[in-house]
Formats: sequence, structure tokens, C-alpha cells
Amino acid sequence: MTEVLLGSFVIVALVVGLAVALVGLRRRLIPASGLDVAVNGALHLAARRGDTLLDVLQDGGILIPAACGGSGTCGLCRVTVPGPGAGDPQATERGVLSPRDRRAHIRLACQARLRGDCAVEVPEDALGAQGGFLGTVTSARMLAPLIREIVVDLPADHASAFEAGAFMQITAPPFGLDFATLDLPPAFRDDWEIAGWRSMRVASETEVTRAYSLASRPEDAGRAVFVIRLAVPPPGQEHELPPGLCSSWLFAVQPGEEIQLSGPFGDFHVQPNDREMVFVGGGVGMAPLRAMIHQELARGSTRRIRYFYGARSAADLFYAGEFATLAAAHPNFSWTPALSDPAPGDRWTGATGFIHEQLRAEMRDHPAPEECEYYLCGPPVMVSAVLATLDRLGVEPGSIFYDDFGA
Amino acid sequence: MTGLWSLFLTAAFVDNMPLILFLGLCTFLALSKRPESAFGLGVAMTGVLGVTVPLNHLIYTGLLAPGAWAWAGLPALDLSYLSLIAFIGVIAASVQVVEMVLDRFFPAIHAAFGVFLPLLTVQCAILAGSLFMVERSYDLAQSAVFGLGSGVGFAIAVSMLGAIRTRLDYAELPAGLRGLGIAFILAGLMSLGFASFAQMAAAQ
Repeated sequence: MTEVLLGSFVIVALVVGLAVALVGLRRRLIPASGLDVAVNGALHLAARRGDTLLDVLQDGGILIPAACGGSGTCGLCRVTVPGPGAGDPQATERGVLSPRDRRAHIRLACQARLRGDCAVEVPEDALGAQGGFLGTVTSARMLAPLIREIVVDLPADHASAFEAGAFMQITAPPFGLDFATLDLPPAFRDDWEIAGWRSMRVASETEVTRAYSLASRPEDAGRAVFVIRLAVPPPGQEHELPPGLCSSWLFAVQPGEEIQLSGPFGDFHVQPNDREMVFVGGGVGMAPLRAMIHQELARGSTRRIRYFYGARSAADLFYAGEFATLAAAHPNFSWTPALSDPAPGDRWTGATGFIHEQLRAEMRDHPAPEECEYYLCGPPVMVSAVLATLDRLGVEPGSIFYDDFGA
Repeated sequence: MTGLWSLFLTAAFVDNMPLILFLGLCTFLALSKRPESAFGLGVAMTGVLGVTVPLNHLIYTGLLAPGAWAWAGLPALDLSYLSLIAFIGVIAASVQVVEMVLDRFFPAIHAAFGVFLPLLTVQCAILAGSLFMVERSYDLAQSAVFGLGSGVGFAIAVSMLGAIRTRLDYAELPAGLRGLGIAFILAGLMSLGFASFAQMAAAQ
């Protein structure tokens, strides 16, 4: 008994002694004194050692975009930090930032942990976002089994003449959702029942912010149009893995509700020249491409514009009538949808196969495919297949602009 | 003094932790890609071994060894079965201290370590230092010298491997040997080289 008691005492005393010594040493070595973060040489934010730069900036009302929620994978939260206050680039940053970026002191704000005072340069549009604003949902409708169009009325004092290709951030509040309660259009109910998506549940105890491309046309001035894809778990894992938090919340919002937005952000825009344009999209990669095409045609542009869009079946093909109408009205615009897996009931007479194959089949006969500009947006696997196709067609990387996040 | 110097050399070369005893190979191979991180690991290992082995010696002889409580009228008390948990506690705290010191004063080395610095807590070479100290019945001075020597030996070995692997950036290696493949072969060759120190010790 003495041995057990004494043994326990020795171990407890040892652990407590070490813990007290460590806490004391930590206070001495890593003081919790306030740090100063100077933003664009004008604004000063208070921070603590160990804070991430993204948190400091966002808490200070500077809404740096971060589509991945701070895990360092989307590469959107780029800021310039010339001094040593934010430490050295992490391994996660080296995977996203090029050597040229790193030489220019560009960091991912979500990965930069503060070690001292530092000066940060952020994009001017992030400063202009000024902490976000509330928009009101005016319409919400299902376009495909997993895709929903949400139109949001922007505040009257918010500049809505943003450039096509931009994206905005949407912040979902804490919520809980049982997918069985969603009111689905009859056309998509069978797809949901068969896939088992009705049995999914999701809940978030904190706010979640994600980036979504704008699909707005010039006639949508004063509104922001989003095309949201519900991020569902892989088949068979509906009960093990949760669906996307922000997209789930957006699948439940109804007209009249308010949404917290920030932005617009982004540099995926049409290049101002006279070169022929080729757009290639898939899934909700439709959004920025739709905005760009509408903006270009509304300007009265005479540039030749081709749009290749890949979907799995006719149910996943949306805005098709709109683009067919545009093609009929504008001789310089052509629209080529292709289905990779048309259902028997689709009665599809158009192109079939993957969209990069369709692109290659058409551009192979083009007199100079390398002279065109290419704008890609869609799932990463589609973007990589199209990039390989364009490489085979002899297109230089400098003529290709793409956006594969969040597709 | 000669005995301590001999113990230091033995710990550093004859009983080299990664190359002779094959201890701590995970960090040895993972952090020897660049000389800077290899040297940093060597310094951290030297610091942690140099502190934990004598500290664990004090804890062992003062609290855990058979007869340590004789002064309290308990000469038969033997708490040595708690050695492992006590040693690991001290090692964990020492690694935390090293991490804080590097974070504060050498952030570049701290960033180079990444996840491997906290993993030093469960690094077999560091625990082995304390266990050898008990097994070989070293006194306090011998424990300190042995810990320091083991750390210096680790630092020499990992810095050498780091330097050689840097030179290999310019070598045209077969695809299957690149990376860890050639690192294992190099470690084996270095191990053969270090084995010759044992012969020198035997000759003495």
C-alpha cells in the first residue's frame, strides 16, 4: 500500500512540477504582449503572438477571401508580407505558391502565424469589402438535382457593376438541417430518393464562409446570382461523412431571407483584346463563364466566342435554352453542350463524351487553335483533362485562364 | 577525466545511436534532406539528450531506484517500475522547452522541423539514452557526458548524411533509388564506416 501511494505521489508530483515549470517558462519565453499589424501602411490592427494573419485581418473587418476555410488549399488568401513578423513560409504554402510568389513575399494569410509586428499589403478590393453586408434572397430554384440558383438583392449602396468572373464570399450562420425536410421539385425527387440524399443531416455550430462565383448577367444589375452545387459525400458514405456546410445551408434558404456577403473578389476576368475566345466549363463552373459570355455579348463584342459545356446527363444540363437563344441571336457565338452519360430517356441528339474530347474534335480543325484564348472553370479533373488537350493542340499556358476552386 | 572523455567518444562514435544502434532512424532519414534541418535536428537532439539523461538520472537515483527511500525508513521500496513513465514525462517537457526556445530564437529551424520536433518526445534514441544510463549504472557526471556524447554523435551522423544527400541532387540516380532508397543505402555505408570505431576501441 505504501508503495502504491508513494509511487502515485511521485508521478503526480513530477507531472505537476514539470507542468508548472513549463507554464512559467512559456510565460517568460513567449510573452502574450500585443503585436501590431499594419495593413497597407494605413490601418493598424492589434494581434497576439501565434494568431493567424487571416484571423487578424478578418477580425479587423478586412475580408480576405478564403474558400477552403483556412486549410491552405484554395490559395485565395494571398497577401504580401515583406518583413519577418509572420515567420517563414510553411510547407503547405510551398505547395500552393510559386517560387516567384515566394520571392515577392507573398504568403497565404491562413498559414502565416504572427511572431512579431509586421506590415501587410492586401488587395484594395479586400479593403473595399469593409466587413461584408447583408443581401436579401429574391429567388431560389433548383436547376439540376444537386444545383440551385440563388438570386440575392444587393444593398442599394453597394456597387453592383462588378466585372464578370468575380466571386463573392457567403457566410452561413450556425444551423442544423435535416435534408428530409427540403422541398424538392418533383423532377428531382426520384434522383434524391435513389441516391439516399434525403436521409442526410448536417449541423454547424459556428459560422462558415465559402466563396462562390457570380453568374450574374448585365441585366442582373443590383443583384448577385449564384449557382450552388451541394457538396455531397461519396456514394455509400452519406451517414459517415457530412455534406458541405455552406452549400447545405444555401440549399435551405428561401426568398426573403438575408444572406451575409462580402466581395466581389478575384482576378479571373476576360482579357481586353480581340483574340478568339473559347470557354470550357463543367458543373457549376458554368457560373463565371455565363457571366463572362453575357457581358462580352452585351458589349457588342465582335470576337468569336465558343462555349463548350460538359454535363453527365440532360438533368444536369442547365441554362441550355438561354445559351441556344444567345447562339441564335449572335452569329459570333456558338454553344456546344456534351453529355458524358446521357440517360435513355434523355433522347439526346447532341454531342456525347467528355467535354475535353469534344473540344479537341472541334479545335483540331481550327486553323490556329494556339491563337485563341481559353477560359476554363469546372471540376479539377475536367480542368486537368482540358489542359492536357490544349497542350496537345499546341496552346501556350499563357493563353489559358482557369478557375478550378469550388466547382 | 580520461574516463569521461573516453565515455564521450564511445557514446558519440562506437555506440552511435542511428548508425550503430539503429535508433531514431525515422527523424534521422526524414530530416537529413537538407544540411540546415539536419544540423538543427542534431542540435535539438544534443540539447534534449544532454538535459534529459542527467535529469532522469537524478529522478531515478533520488526517487525510483531500489533503496532510494532508505532515508525515510523504507529501504525495501522499489519504484523502478515507474522509470519509463517518469522518463517520458521529463523528455516530453524537455522537448517542449526546446520547441519554445527554437520558436522564439530560431524560427527558421523551428519551421524546418515541422511535425518532427514534437515527435522527438517519442523518439526512441532519446528514451534509449535514459534507459542505457540505468542499465549501465552511470553516475551523474557519466550520465551527463553520455547524454551529451550520444547527442553529438547523432548530430555528426545526421549532418554527414544531410551533406551527402545534398550532393546527390546533382547525381543521376536510377528512378527507383531516388529519395529514401539511396538514403537507406548511404546510411548503411556510413554504418559500416562507424563500425570501424568499434575495432579501434577493441584494439585499445
